[in-house]
Amino acid sequence: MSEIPSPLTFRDAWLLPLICLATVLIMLIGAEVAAQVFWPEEKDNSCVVHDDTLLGFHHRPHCVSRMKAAEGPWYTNRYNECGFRSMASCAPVAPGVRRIAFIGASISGGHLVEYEHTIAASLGQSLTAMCPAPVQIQNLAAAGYTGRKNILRMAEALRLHPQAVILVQTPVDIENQLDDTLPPITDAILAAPPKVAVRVKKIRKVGLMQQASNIVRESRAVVVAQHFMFSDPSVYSPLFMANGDTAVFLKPPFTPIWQARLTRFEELIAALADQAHRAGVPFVLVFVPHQAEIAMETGAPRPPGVDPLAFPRTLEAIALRHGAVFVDASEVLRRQPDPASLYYRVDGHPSGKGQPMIGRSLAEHLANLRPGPFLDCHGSIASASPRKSS
Amino acid sequence: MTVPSVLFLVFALCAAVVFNLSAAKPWRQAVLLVVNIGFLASFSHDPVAYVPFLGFLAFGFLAQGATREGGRPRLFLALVVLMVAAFVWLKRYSFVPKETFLAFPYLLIGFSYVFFRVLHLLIDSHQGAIERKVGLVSYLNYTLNFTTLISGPIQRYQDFHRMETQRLPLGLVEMGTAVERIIIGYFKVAMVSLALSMVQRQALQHLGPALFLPDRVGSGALIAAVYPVYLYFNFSGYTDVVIGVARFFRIELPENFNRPFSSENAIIFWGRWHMTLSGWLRTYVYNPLMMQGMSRITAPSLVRYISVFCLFVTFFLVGVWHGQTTEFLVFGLLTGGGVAANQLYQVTMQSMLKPKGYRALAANGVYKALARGLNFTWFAFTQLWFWSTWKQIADISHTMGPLALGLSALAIYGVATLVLAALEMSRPAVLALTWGGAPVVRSRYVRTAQLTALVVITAGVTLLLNAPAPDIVYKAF
Repeated sequence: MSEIPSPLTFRDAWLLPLICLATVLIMLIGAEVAAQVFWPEEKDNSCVVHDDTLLGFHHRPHCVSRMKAAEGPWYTNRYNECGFRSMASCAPVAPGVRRIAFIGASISGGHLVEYEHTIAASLGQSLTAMCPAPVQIQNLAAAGYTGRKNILRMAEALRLHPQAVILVQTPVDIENQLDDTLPPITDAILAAPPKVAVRVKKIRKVGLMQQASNIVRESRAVVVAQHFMFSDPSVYSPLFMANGDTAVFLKPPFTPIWQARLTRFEELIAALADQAHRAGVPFVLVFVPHQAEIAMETGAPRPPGVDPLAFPRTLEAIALRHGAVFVDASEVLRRQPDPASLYYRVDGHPSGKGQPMIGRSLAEHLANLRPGPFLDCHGSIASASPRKSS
Repeated sequence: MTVPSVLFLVFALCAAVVFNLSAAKPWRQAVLLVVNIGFLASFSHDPVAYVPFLGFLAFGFLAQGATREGGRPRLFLALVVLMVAAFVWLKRYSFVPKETFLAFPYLLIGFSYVFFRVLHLLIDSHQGAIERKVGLVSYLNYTLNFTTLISGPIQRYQDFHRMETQRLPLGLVEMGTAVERIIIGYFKVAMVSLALSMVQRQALQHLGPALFLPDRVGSGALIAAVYPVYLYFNFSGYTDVVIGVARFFRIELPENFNRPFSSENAIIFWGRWHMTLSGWLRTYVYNPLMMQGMSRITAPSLVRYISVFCLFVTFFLVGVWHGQTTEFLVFGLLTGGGVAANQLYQVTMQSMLKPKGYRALAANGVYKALARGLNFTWFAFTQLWFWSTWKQIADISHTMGPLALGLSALAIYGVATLVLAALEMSRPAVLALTWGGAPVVRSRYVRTAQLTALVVITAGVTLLLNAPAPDIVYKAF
């Protein structure tokens, strides 16, 4: 750099800008192509069928699909004859076999992880090992089943005669209670939900700027870059806090918008608990924290006013007011030495490492529930003898 | 204002445009003064916070004026002592009684560097090394120069003043070279040192007593070895940026780094790391001490050891200057001790092997590689007292245990030796690459592509770091 540079020539005047442009294009296109090749993603579930005016979609019975998060491995969805993500039939269970039904959205449904690593399957395996008889899981949950759609799913779950119904919720589920278009759910609808094919909205033509914005948002290279950046909780947490309203649930007192969401959520819990109680089935609300909460609980800098425990405490109060059992998965997750690995860092869902931990912890909670349907089970997995899962 | 940052670069760009509107010296001096004051004012909106800083500057200006060209030697000595005492007091060194400190918060941005500049002016002015009387505007522009205020480099007044009077050319090629320097520097700070600090932070988080020995050794080695590399990229990147920015104000700042990790011993290392600081101390501490020592000690058997003592004092001060706590005292002792031990080793080896034999040994490739690795390992070890606290050092030592600590040091030594040797061997080969008879790496076209790549990466990562982290992605419906 210290030597005297030669003067610019006429050729340099056009060649240097061209080199700049070519470098930018090669880098952007190269990074995206490399990311698409080495970090493939498949988030469209081929088993989804849009056949329901109320729920929007179902899963096709006896269907198998393959999906993959960019940050995770390929995994298989297998749906039984009822279209539930379960290895077992939804037919009445054999004598002695107990059944647990899961309702809820993506995390309840084990989104983006192999079946054995889902919360539901881990719970089933753990309880089967802890109890004298097998425990079967029927998973009625799926990404998008939020808000009052769960009332419909609860009715369907109760028709399976389970020993417990479990709803797994995250702050995102409570934020996105996507049921604005849902009509009032009457007993008649609950008894016989209409199954009519729905027209999937065609994607409207979007402007050039919107297209550019979509390209950036959907860029796999961006996902890869963020994946590595977010491995450091002290980088991730402040960025998450910049999400405005979405991150406000970490900062009590909750804003009016969040209070309204919580009120709506309480109405939902009241309705679900009422359905379950009328059927004489325990209803369990499981709270899965956002990865930002865990990051802040395990050493990432905590901005002033942030209280990661305020939100689960509020949910616990809601659950207890309506006679539901409350389980806070934060307790087990925050004890882990490497919290960043428990979630897909960019996507945000618990990973194949985080979900089984929640499932096992949930099993211990249920086995220790007094009174509860698993009184005859060991209180911990460690003290249980291994048994083949149902 | 953070340096370097996009805001700083925009500020500097606007200032440079105004600065270069006229070639008249008064115009440029006035613009630079306004820019320097504007930059300083960005650090606090409370005028009282500037009082000690400005008081120190006023004291320096009056002191150098009062003792010019050998005048009033006793007053000069008293003023030097007073200036050092004022620096120590204002910097709140831990050995100064707290009760004496000023009770209000005040600005100390770049104060250590201002101290070096003012003290240098006082001494050189007294010794007659500055030909003309220092004007107030020139004094303020020199001491408060916004490109060097935060962390140097420490420029000599004579060099600064020469550029005030002579117009350095600023054509397209010079601007391109300056932009190149800024881009490389910004990339070093914003990307490389950011990534390295993340690596070190994660290694610190990962380190735990439950880890197996190899894992503990790996984490410990990473924690200690990454920091010097991080510091190099961080500080040399900052220096690159300010050197590039200063060039737009027709100022050529001195270099601060010259591939320090290629040094085979601590003495060479400190001649290549933070060069303007070690150069300053060599001029104003080491040389006077040596002169004094040589004049007082005449026994031939002892003369060769004077430099050992002088180096220890000089580099002890280098360490202590960095901070006010006892950790920096230890850092100073280790830095001074390392350099002194190195000098002692050289003196001993030269007497054992004779100068010719020692020169042959020092030129041996394997010996050089091993020495380079050792120098890096020692520097990484001393840096523990630079970046951590006593509690952190105790925690790390307790968690790792003596065996893992020893193995970590060996691991750093081994890896540093191999990596630095590989870099030293490959560098000439890479620089010698030619295409059509012209060097490839230094080619304007290759450099343009490299710089564009650095800009794309920096812009991309900066955008991502400023965009909110995504929430759970619902794409299934």
